[in-house]
Amino acid sequence: MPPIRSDIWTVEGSDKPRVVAAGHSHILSLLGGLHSSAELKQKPLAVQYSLDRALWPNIGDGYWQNFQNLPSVETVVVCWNGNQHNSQFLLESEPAISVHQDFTSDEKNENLVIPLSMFDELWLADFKVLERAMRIVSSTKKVVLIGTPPPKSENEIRNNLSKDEFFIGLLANAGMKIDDARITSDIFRFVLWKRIQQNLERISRVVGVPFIHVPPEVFDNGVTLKPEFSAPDASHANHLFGQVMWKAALKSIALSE
Amino acid sequence: MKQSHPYRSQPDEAFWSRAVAENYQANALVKNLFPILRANDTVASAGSCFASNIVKPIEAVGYEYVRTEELPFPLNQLPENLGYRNFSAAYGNIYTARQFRQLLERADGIFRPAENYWLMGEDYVDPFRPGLRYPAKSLGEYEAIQRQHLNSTKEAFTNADVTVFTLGLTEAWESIEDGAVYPTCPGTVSGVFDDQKYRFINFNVSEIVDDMVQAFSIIKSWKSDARFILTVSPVPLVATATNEHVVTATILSKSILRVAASEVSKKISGVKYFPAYEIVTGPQASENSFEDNRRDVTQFAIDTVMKSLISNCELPKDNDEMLIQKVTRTEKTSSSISRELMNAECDEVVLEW
Repeated sequence: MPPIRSDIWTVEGSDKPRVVAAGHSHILSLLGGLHSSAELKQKPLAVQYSLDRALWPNIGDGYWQNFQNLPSVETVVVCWNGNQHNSQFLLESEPAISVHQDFTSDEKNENLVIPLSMFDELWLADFKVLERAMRIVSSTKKVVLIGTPPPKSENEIRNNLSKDEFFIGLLANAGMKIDDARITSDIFRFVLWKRIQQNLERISRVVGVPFIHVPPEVFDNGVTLKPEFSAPDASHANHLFGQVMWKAALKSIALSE
Repeated sequence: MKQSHPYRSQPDEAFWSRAVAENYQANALVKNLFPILRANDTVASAGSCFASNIVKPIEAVGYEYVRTEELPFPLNQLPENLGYRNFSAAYGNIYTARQFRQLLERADGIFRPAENYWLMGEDYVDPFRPGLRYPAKSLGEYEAIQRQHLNSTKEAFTNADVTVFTLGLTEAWESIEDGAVYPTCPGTVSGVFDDQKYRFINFNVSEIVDDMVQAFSIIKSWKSDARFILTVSPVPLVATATNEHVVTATILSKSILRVAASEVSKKISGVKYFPAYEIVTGPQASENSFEDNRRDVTQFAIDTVMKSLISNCELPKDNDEMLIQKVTRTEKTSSSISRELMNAECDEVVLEW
């Protein structure tokens, strides 16, 4: 079968990759990890990413079907979305909301408590697309689904965004300054992120593929992404995080020499 | 010479021949209640149908309808069941006076039902809101949501100048252990029916009067100058658990509620009875008041009731459209800023490679 829109995607890394990372923007930390690690460079790894910004995040069936045209590829490492907790919930809503937190008291919380099952429904359509994508790939290749970067601390986000002209412009259009921006709490975004990981794990079980959790070493106080793993924005991780995730994923992939 | 008697001094509205057989106007039934709402009143409501039907008409003329459990965008775009978003807080339909009284007692921390949740598979179901679409999945989550809901319920009635309550039913199911009353029979919407745990009850006039007086007294303990509008739902029963035909059960139920409403309005200050029931079901009512199933009230009938309500209110002087627009803009702003930022970051991170 000829490549499908292969001019839109680039597969970067090993010439004959046996493992390819694919998905949304967070896979680029894996690309950075690949380039920055002598150890990983030795392995038959690559990342398939889109150069067409119009495709993010709607990367379509063709993107996943393209692996049929890469005969050397045995396993696809899927990294899906990963910004649901930030998209729409980075800033406090009106009215402000909260979620039940297992490890802090709700007694003094005055915000509207939202059941996590409501977020499941909000994200359901997106996860159905993930399931479809993994079924497409798993018809010809092995699949491993990996977790996505944990949320960053409010301090780090505010520090990064204070230098971001686009974000400052967005706030100005709404009549706000950076100091006015009410970023949701670390715990709130962590609970949402954790729920996303639970959904990813559930879908991997449904499809019958392994799910690789984000290792504890990248966490600060078990809640936010350590700054050394962070890219200079509100949501993405850097090449060091990519290295950690590659190593975690490869543990579950039998790469014979 | 004609004898003098009390009827000679009665107004035209007291005579069927003058006020119904000819010249009938629904407005005439309520004009002595003016003003039903004052110009700057804030309004909360609870009960059954009428209590939710009034929301749009009163907001349309500028009254503030109190809402304390509104969802922000985009969560408010998700579907919900059984009208839980139709009232001032997310309590859904409250069909009986006892259920209302107990809701307020729970919100005030003086009643905690022995059976506070039903565990249905992985779902922690609220027996008093059994149809909620998004159940809690842990006891901690359930208790957090319930605590916040009861706080919001108290806040709603504390913040409202006027509470509208519509009496719906006399028939209910209660817990044998502590008398907790459920909105629906356990085992219908959710839960499991057990005749060792639940029993049928058909409230009588004195019970309903006592419950409503207690309920309104609780609200007055939160807001001393609270006022109330009491109505009776004209909607017949879906089904009866008595041995009666559903028609006779309905008429008995509505009759009891109507008498109780009258007694309550005499017993406690600040209560006005609004005759929505009579406007829709009286012999004078239009034959177009009910749909073909003779149970659903037509939009024509609802409009008739609302028109007579609004025309006997002091309308607000200032329009709060700007406030509503500001809140909407804020909701969409924080959500849209978050989304736009994330989309931009995803685009830009590609360029870094």
